[in-house]
Amino acid sequence: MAINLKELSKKTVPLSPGHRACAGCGSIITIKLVLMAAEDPIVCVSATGCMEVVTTIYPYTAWRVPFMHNAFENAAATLSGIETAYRSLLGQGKISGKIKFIAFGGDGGTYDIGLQSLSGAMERGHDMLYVCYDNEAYMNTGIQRSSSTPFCAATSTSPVGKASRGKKQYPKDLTKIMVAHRLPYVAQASPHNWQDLMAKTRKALSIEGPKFMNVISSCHRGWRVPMTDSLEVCRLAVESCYWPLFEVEDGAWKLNYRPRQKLPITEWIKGQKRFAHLLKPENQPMVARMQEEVDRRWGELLQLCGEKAG
Amino acid sequence: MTGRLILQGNDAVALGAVKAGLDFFAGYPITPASEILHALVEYPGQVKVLQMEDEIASINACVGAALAGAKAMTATSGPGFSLMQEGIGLGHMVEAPLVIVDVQRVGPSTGMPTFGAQGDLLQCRWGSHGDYFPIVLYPNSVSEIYTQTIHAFNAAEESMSPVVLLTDGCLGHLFETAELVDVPLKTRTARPLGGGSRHFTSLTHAGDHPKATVPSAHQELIAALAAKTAGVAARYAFYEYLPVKGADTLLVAFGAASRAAYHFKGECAIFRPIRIFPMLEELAEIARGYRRVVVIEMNAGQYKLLVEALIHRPVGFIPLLGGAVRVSQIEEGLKKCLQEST
Repeated sequence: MAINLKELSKKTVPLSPGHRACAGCGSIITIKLVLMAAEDPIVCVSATGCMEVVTTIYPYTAWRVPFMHNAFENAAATLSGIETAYRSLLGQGKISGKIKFIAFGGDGGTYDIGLQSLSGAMERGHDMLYVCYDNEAYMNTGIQRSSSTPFCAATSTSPVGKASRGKKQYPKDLTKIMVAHRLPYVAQASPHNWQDLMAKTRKALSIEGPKFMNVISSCHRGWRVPMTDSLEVCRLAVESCYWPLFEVEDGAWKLNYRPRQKLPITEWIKGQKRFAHLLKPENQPMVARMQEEVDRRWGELLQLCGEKAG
Repeated sequence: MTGRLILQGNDAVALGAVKAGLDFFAGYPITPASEILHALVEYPGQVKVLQMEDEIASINACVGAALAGAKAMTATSGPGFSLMQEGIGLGHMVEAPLVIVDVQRVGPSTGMPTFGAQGDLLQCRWGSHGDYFPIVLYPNSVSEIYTQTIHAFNAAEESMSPVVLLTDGCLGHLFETAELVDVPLKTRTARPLGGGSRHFTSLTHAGDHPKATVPSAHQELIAALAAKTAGVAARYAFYEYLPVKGADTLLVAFGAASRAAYHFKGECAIFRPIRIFPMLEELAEIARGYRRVVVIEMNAGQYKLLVEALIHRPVGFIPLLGGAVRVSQIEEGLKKCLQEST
């Protein structure tokens, strides 16, 4: 499903300019690409988080589509209600036309506090797409660690100092948790590969039932990268196989992109100041552990996708 | 730590808690309370900090830690405090001593996350289902936050129950010179989990035995909980009373609102409850001496309702809503109250 740039250029972007996201924010690019990929009318719900805040600064809203911001832990539950009401009204002939439903949440609102609500909505099988813009920490409240924060990354609650070397745990594999719900469509994407992200969004919206997309979305404040590098750092996450691009359609795994030459994890972390301590010689064993975990997950994925090891 | 420091309210909570012997903190990021979590994460020494997946997990982790023998605390703001309510009821039922800090912000829901409010008062008292009798303390300066945090731990240890320390977004982020005055610590007498067989349950119980279908057991349990906290609360009857010669109006205010109310201390008497719950009988006594009682609070009339019930007569009311605390608002409100009661 090729995305045509000419066709896109004629579209009104459903998210208006003038929002207050930082220059170079990866998450706003992700959301814009997802919204632009939609062809039918859409209704959006957003959990509390960076993107909700920056798109709704009083007295303005950047949303050109029906939009609801709810509390932190329940975007998927609120959208469950909206989607079910739509089906009820549709059945009674009180409403007509196709409407698609999209929920957005950051990693805090999806991996952590919103996981129960997301799991419930997916298990019940609502016709909705949930998009997690994963910037790997609570960037909106002061850069605290989340269960998506990478191993060793420095955050305000996993600081780097004498007693602590950043986050102690590996990130939760949320995409796999969603696959375990046996959804018709689950995908992992990145905004640097806009065609892949938009094609996945279109495919997801064309499928009836619950869909989930996990999109890595850099945050220069939290990752401590120059704002000009926001897409480059996402690209390096994919090239180093820290964030592989794949999709799982009705249980069938497919790798969407295989780097010609898998970059070592150091290529991804070296430009990010949240990992600055890992460049010191005494911390090399931790880099090795990180590499080992990336390799393990990558190997597992290759196997699931029926790809050759390596 | 004692002495004078320039400090923000949230840091004073963290320092007070450490002074009180905090062993365990579980929390979840939320504006305007996150600095408490940040300060404790970086504090070297005895405090174990868990960042949980949400506030439900935070309060329940504290219940577990408290039963295991630790001095436990969590800190949050309105939305998180709402999520904690079931766990707070559990804490009362299993008699878990712990401290919950609520740095109040404007609600309902996400509301005005960066602005202070006092909208969680009734939630403190009746937020969880069923009958329980919480001790709630509400300081109004950074110095007092430090001291009252220690008192909150002491009250929790003595009452074997969750104690709420209220502050608000204004006080939490207020930087001022603070005098850190220490308070002697109370130690727990109950033995922790791990020593012999013990059975804790959220069901109605008598001692270690569930009695979930015996009405008389429930009546006895509730009476015992009420008597226990009332007895302890009597030792924490903190308030500030500023009488003025010839004044016929008594202003009742607490937390950030009381700082603005001080502006009128030349013309009106001021009563500032620090122990918000159980309500202070002293207020009923003092109110008798005034023709007019006016409650100033940052909500649409929560404490006012309770003050009326306590003193058995109508009281004037000045709401400070939407995070704004202005002397001019109080001035106007007072004028209105004077007209209404003349």
